[in-house]
Amino acid sequence: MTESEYIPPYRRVLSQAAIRTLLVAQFFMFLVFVPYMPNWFVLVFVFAVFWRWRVIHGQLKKPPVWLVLSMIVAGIAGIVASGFSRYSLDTAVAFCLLGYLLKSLEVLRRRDGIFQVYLGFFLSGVYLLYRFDPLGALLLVFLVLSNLLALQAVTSEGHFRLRYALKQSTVLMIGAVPIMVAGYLFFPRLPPLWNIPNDERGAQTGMSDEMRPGSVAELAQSNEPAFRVSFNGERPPRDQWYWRGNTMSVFDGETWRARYTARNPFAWPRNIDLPVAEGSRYDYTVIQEKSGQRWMYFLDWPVQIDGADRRILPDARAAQIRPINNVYRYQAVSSDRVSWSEETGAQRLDLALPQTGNEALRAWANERYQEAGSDWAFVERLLTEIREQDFYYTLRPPLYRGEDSIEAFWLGERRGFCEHYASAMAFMLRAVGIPSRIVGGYLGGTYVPGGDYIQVRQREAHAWVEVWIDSEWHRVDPTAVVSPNRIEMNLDELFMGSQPEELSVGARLGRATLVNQMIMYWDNLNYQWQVLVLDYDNNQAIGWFTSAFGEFSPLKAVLALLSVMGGLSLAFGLWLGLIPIPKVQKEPYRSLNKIERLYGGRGQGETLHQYAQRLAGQYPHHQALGPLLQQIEQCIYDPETDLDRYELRHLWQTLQQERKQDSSLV
Amino acid sequence: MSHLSTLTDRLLEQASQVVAGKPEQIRLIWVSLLCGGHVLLEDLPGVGKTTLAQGLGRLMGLEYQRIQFTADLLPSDVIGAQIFDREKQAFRFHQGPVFTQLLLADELNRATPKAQSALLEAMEEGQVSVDGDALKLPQPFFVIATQNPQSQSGTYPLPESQLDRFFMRISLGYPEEAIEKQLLLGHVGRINLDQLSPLVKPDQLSEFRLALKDVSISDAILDYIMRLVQKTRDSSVCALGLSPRASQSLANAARAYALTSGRDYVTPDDVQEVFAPVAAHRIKAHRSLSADTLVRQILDTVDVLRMP
Repeated sequence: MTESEYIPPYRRVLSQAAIRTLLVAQFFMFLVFVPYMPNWFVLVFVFAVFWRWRVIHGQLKKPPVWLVLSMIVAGIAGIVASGFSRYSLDTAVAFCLLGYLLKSLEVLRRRDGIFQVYLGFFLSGVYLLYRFDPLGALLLVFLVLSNLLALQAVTSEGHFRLRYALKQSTVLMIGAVPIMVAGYLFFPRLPPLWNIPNDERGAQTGMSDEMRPGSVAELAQSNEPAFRVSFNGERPPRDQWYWRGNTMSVFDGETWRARYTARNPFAWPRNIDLPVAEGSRYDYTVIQEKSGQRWMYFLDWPVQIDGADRRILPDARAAQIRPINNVYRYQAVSSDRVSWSEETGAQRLDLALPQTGNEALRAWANERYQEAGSDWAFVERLLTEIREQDFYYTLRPPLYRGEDSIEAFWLGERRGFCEHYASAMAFMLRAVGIPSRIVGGYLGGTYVPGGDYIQVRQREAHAWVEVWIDSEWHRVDPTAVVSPNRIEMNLDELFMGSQPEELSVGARLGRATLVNQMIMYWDNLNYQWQVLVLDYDNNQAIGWFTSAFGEFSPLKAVLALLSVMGGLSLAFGLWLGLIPIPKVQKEPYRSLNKIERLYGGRGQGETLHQYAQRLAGQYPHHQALGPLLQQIEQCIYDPETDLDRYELRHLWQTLQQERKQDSSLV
Repeated sequence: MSHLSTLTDRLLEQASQVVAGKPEQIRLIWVSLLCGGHVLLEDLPGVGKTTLAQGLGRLMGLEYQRIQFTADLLPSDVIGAQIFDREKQAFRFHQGPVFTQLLLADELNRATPKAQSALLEAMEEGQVSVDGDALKLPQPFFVIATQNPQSQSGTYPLPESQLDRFFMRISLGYPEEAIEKQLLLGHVGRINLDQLSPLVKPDQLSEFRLALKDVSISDAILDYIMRLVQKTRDSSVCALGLSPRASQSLANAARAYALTSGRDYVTPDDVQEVFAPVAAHRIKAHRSLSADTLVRQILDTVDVLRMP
């Protein structure tokens, strides 16, 4: 290759600065994915860095084919061996990231560099699937910025100046803001595009579908938020903050299950009415974190639920056909007193117990029931038992296994948490013929004054009993009556559980309230983010869309998005002066143009006067032409003559008439 | 303003009695006078140059002198000379024919460059230098020089720098056939110049010159003038283009032309009318093309009006 030979830009060898910048961008891209990728990816990255180092030090050869192939094979084998499920998001991202890192081996020329940067942009977008919160958004901005810098470094001719590139990148990103706003405001988030199935992660936290109290040795305590509730109007008193989720009314001796399980959502009954409100109503909006489950959360008792795709079930549940794998928002109305319909009232199933097992407990319960005499007295009797006997509340209960597990708890160890108490109580109620069921949900929550909402965390998960007496469901929470001095929790758990209103423990331990306040601020920020960004009223966007473009379809949505964005970019470009504004021709030039169109153009050296004379000779019947051209001439050349629009219009009208007459003559 | 246009009409009418059938040329001379520029009449002998100059001098009420340039003419024959006065025992300046308002410099190119330049200084400065003293010439000072076509023998062609000092170069040309027939019949022209009475009063001229400044010239016209001038400066079109003085003259001439037509604004027609007389003697075409043809071509090819 001689010096004088022209090398097209895309084939030019990257400068050292470009390679370094690219490497830095790659490092950040890699860093954000580290928590989700297998650890051996670090090795791949180190190898990429090593290779880049070689390139910087003058090794400008392409890697041998065997090296590339073996790296690819090793990478694929590694991903397969990492135990991702075959078609999951993680697998796809792992492949993409592997390619992104290994591409470094052969990036020598500008074309390859640009390709790698584009892959970086793509991966930045992919990162949204993992994380979509304020911090994630900040990271994303940073990632895009570093990729833009790399792009400029790669395409710069020789000299790369960071400050200048930074400025340019910032301008580019600011330029993207209108497009972002347009997408945010007008583009409905389509489920297939917006919701990537991510079951594995969703199921990691939160409540499970069924309850098996005997087999839990240690209950995990997570501070992750479960959902947030904001009330439109009055909030119920704090001791009423029972957030029901799953209703479990089927018991097989060890496990409580919902009557309508997730296994067959298509068999769920349709068009069931919720109980009818009789007491005071509470109107509220819930923004639920992804849970991987199907049910939604409500205060007792739900009377109205608004949300997409929900199905209301007879056991006072509202569930989604698909698991909630994304932040989900709905509005609900609850009432503290309701009347129950036949469908939503007690069923035969709410009395069913296994034929055998827990015989001693059954006998014990029947004995106490005889003593008590009435249903209510029996419930009271059970609560008194918990209150007065040595029942302990602990998060590390012993295991209760087998047919007689409930008996082993109630009559034996007497150590357990909410599930144990609820399970035992529901069992005994059923044993004496009182319909009952278990509700899984959350108890309490933290009111955040800054955002005017209640935050409910995973650690506030709870289970309680509902009992059917006097044709009404009543909530009974056996755990609440456990004597406070028999609660076994370690200090850390206590601290984690402490909330601003009840910080006495934390304060006594010398923990600063500041930390808690910071936590609350952070939660508030997350909430506002959800309200604003994640849960911007999608229905409204769809509504606008439908009113503008008719029935919703993905193709239409894409076309609409492109046109709206195109329009906005155009407006922005015009505003910045990047696109010249087409001039509207003003009078008198417009009239002149029109005449030239109608009668043929003026010669190059022909003045308006000469033109008028020529036309007068050619079209003797078009009398208005002369005065019209004279007026145009005067307007153009005499600064003191203003355009007489009225006269001009009049002349035009005359001319039109003359033209008509002339053509009719012909 | 309208006063000037009626005056112009009357002037043209009267002048046609002196030289028939040449109203355009007379008008251009009149325009030159209004602009304070000198005119070079280039034509064959005998087409009425001298008569015209004389007649115009009378009509415009100007004091008139004539110099016949010959090969042996000396500068002092133009400017005048110091003459020893015996009675006063001192030198006295005897004014030459240049001390007048309208000077007809007949057959300018027959004189030597030295004699020519004596006149040209007077034209440019409006004064003459005699023994280091600058003597003012009367105002207005207006020169109509005639020259024979350069192909004729015994001529000293004027250099470009001196041609540039003439505001306009005008050719009278042969009269039209019909006019010439009338001439032969004795119906028109050649009236006794004494019968003409001045139409313009001396201070009217300076009034008109002031009015000239009020004639507005729009951007569209200036753009047109600039396009014309730029075209002459294109080396593929012209060997020698128009100077800034020339473009200034062009604008002024167009103004005056508009004024004589009774308008207080310039139209492209005005520019086109004066372009050839103002520009033709200042540009030099590439060989085998006459300046007049070139000027015609430029006028035909330059856009009169560009749509904004």
